[in-house]
Amino acid sequence: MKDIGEILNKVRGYVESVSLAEFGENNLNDKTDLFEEGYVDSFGFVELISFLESEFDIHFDEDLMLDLRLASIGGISNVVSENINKQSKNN
Amino acid sequence: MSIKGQVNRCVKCILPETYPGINLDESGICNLCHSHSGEKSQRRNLDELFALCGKIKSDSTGSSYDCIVALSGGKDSTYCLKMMVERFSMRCLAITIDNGFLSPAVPKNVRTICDALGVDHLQFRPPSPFMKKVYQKSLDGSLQTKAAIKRASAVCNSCINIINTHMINTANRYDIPLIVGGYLGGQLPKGVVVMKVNTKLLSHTRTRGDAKYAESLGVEGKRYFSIDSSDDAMNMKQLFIANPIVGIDYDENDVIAEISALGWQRPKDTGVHSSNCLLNDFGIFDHYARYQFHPYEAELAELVRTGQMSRSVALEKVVAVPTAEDVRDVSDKLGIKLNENG
Repeated sequence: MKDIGEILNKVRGYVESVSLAEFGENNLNDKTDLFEEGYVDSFGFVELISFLESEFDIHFDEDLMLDLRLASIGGISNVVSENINKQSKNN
Repeated sequence: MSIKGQVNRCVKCILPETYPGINLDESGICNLCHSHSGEKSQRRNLDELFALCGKIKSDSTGSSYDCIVALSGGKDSTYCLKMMVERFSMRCLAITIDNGFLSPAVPKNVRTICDALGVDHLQFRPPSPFMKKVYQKSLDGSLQTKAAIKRASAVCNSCINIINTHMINTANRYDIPLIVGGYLGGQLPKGVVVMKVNTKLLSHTRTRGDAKYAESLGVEGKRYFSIDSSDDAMNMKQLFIANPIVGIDYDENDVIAEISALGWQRPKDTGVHSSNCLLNDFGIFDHYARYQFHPYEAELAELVRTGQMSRSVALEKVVAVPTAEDVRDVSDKLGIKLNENG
């Protein structure tokens, strides 16, 4: 089971690679709204979901994809962590 | 055209060291090639699209069309329309968005193809003064995310955005579940023939970005860049977007031969990389001048990695960059001073 720190690092790395920005610079932190600040657009969001599903082996149904926490690195990591734990309990 | 050769490139694909996030190892191989799975044929499969089309036709509840097809008049979208009619037997509505820079050959090509295939056609044309403002704003960086430069030139990104928005809103308005486009690799997540899209989600992810468009383009910006989130439009929460070209062994010569047999004629004024648009060369010129890489690098590199194009052919395409003289007419029409640092 991945801990939240490990998930955060992977999500940060992914966002850096697709947004051409560096974590910690120019206002990019765990609480930054990635859409409002222009780091991710709607195309990028589709790619993000695809990355999260394959990297963490979780499934995003329609309701989960509308979770407003998916706007920030911290929020994304929490959503991933919760769902990894939920799926582990179901197995 | 000028030939740009003085840059180190990946020896396996073509990506140059000037491409964002690229590192070449001691052997000259890039990190994206290293992380590539190596699978070459995985995506060339239309099974999922056949299954989806079968379901749409059997579930049809009164809509006059099974799918809408983004028909730019270029070779790839024309081929997509042909596939959807002939291979998938779908009742298609073809839509052309006039971005203000379509080749004069496009209307004739569109009429000819739609007549040959027996397809209804709609054209949508935003006013030229607005489109000119969109292109000007695109070039000052206010409309797209930074990462979008990896996918296409600034003007192309804006145009694609307007097209996608219009197609999604039209699909919802007409209650049509499938949108088809001749998007090549760089314009949809890679390897995807059919993508499921949640309209409510799209609207949600764009809502925050809408504010930037409105800020840059005024209220009319929202009209062209916002997914309609009124209750009626939300009747269709789930849409599919299909990219059938990704599912075939793409051979440009074969594609052109097939659509030429229907009467399509290649325009002579659209440059090397486009078969419908007069703005494309300008986009490439500007992109190269700013970032020192061709906007089609990633798309073509992926075709090389998956074995659909040889490295030498891909390289020929990206080293030929339009010159300032090639694009001066367009830049004058846009009222833009050329960035001649390339």
